[in-house]
Amino acid sequence: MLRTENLEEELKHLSESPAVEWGPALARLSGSRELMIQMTEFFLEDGQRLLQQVGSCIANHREKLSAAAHSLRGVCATFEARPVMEVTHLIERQADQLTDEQLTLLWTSLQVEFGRLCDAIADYRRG
Amino acid sequence: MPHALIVDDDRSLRYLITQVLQSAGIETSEASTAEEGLRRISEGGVDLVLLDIQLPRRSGLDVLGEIQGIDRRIPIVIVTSDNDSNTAIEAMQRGAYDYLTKPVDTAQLLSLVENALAARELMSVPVALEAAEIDGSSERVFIGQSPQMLQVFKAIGRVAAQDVPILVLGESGTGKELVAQAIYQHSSRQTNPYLAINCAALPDSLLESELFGHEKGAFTGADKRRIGKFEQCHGGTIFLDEVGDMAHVVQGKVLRLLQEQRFERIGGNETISTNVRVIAATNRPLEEMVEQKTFRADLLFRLNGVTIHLPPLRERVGDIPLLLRHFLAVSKRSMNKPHIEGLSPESLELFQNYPWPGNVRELRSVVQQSVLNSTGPIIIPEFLPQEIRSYAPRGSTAKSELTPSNGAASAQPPSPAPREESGFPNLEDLREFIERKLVEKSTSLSAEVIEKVERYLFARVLQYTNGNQSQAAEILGITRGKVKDRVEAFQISLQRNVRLPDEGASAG
Repeated sequence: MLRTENLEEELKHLSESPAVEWGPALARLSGSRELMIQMTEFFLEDGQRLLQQVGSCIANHREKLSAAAHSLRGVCATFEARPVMEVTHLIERQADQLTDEQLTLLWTSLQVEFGRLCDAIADYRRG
Repeated sequence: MPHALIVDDDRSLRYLITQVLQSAGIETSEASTAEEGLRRISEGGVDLVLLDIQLPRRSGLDVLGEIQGIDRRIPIVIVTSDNDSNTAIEAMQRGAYDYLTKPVDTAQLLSLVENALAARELMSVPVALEAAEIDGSSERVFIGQSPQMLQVFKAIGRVAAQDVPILVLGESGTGKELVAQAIYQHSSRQTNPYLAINCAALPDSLLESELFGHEKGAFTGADKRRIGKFEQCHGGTIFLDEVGDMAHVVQGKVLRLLQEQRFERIGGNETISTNVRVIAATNRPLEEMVEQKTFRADLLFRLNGVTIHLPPLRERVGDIPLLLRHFLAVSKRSMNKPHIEGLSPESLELFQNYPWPGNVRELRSVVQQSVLNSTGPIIIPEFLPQEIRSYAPRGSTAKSELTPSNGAASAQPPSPAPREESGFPNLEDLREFIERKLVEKSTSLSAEVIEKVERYLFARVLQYTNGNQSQAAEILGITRGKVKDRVEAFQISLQRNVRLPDEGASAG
C-alpha cells in the first residue's frame, strides 16, 4: 500500500526533471524531426482529451482509470516525457488501491506536468 | 509487396509504424481493435502482425492465440510497454515471433519487421521434411537405412542369441548403448537383469567396488558389505561403457571374470560364481592401447568375441532425414509443440551439410533446441543454433580453400599458434600433405589426416594449459585417460614446454 507522505515526496521531485528529453526521443525516430513534428500533431489533437479522460475516470469511473492512464502514457512516451509518464504509470499500476487523497495529489501533479509537456512541445514546434 | 497489419488502439503509434514500414516498401493496414484486426487477418494477405498487448477490452495474449488459430505461419510481433517484461515473456512462450517495447525505436522496428517477413517467406515454402508420427514406445530406437547401419542391424541379429562377449566400437554419440540394449532385448537373457556402467565416470577404486562389491571393512568407509554389479546381474547382461578408460587393476579382475565367471569381492576371501554376459564399448583405439601397454591384450581378446563398428553420422548422411523426422516427432511431443510441421528446405540443407562431430546425440540435441526456439510451424534457419547456421557447407568455402587452383595460401591456420609452434600450420600445408599422399597412392588417408589434425589439436591444447592434462581433458570434452593416451601416442613432451618432437620446435 502506497503511503501518502512517500507519494508527496516522490511527486515533489518530478518538477526537477525536464518535461521532455528530445535527444533520446529523436534518436528513437532515427533523428527525423519531420516525423517528430507529425507525432506532436497527434499529441495536440489527442493529448488533452486523454488527460480529461483520466480526470473523468478519477471522478466517476475508477474501474476504467488504469486503462485511461495507460493510453495517456503511451502518447507521451514518444517524447520521452518522463514526469508525465511516471505519474501515469503510478496511476495505471495502483489504480484500485489509491485513496481519494492520493488520487487528488496525483491528479494535481499530472495537470502540472502535462502543462509543462505542452509548453515544451510548443517550443519544439516553433523550432 | 509484403503486408503488415498494425493492431493498436493508439493512432499515433499506428501512424508512426505505418510511416516507417511504408518508407521501407512494406504495405500496411491498421486496426484499432482486436475484432477489426482478426477480421482483417481472416480476409487473407497479411504477412505480419504487430499486435499491442494491451488492447481495449481484450488481452493481446488471447488475440495472439486467435490469430494463430487463423494462420500459424503469420509472425506476430507483440508491442508492449517498456515495464511489462512478464507479458512479453508469456507472449514468447505462446509463440509470438518477437516483441517490441514502447516507445518504439524505428531502427529496431524496421530490423525486426524485416527479419519477421523473411521468416514468413521461408515458412511459406512447402515443408522439406515433415515430422514423423511416433507412438509412445519408440523414443529410443535405432534409426537408419544406410548400408552401414544395415550391417550393424545384421550384426546385432547374428550375435544377439549367441552368448558371446561383444565389443562395440564407435565415436562418442553414435549410440553404442543402444546396440547393447538391442542385443540384450533380442537375447535369451532378456528376462534377466541388464545393467550399464560407465567405466570413465568413476574413479578406479570406486569402479572396482561398483563392479565386484566389497566386504565390510575392506577399506576406509566400507562400513557394510556391498554387492557389486557382476553379482547383482547374475543371469543377465552387463554393459561396460568406456571400457578403454578402465584402470589396469580392474582390467585384470574383469579378465578373470570373463575367463572363469568367478571373482571375489574387495577384501573378501569367498569366491563367487556368476553368469553374466558382457557387452563392452569404447571410442578409444584399443589395439593401439594394447601396443602401448595401457590396455591388456588378453582382455581385448576376451571382450572381442564379436566386434560391432558403429559408423559416425558423417559417414551416413543419408540417414539424417530419417533421424530428423524421428527426433522432430519426439521433441514436438515432449515440448508440447504439436503445431510444428517440419523443416524448411534451407534448414534441411544446413542439417545435411554439418559434419556432426557429436554424432546422433548432437543431432538430437540440435533438433530439441530448434523446436524450442521455433515460433512458427516450420523450422527455418533462424531457429537453428548458431554453430549449424554458420558452418560452411561442404563444397563451398572449405572446399574452395583446399582446391589447388584456388589461392589456398590465403586460408587461415586453425589457431593463432604460429607455424613453427604448432606442427600443423595452415590449410595450405594440409593440402600439400593430402596431395602428396594421393601421389603416393595412400590407402589410409583418412586416418593419416585425422592423426595430423589430432596431433596439432592435442599439442595446442596442452600448450594452452601448460601441460595440465586434466584441464586439457575438460577443454577437449574427453576423459583424462584419453588425453594421456594421446600424449603418449604422439610423443608430446610435457617436461617444460609442450613439444612435438618430430617437429623439433618448442612451444609455450
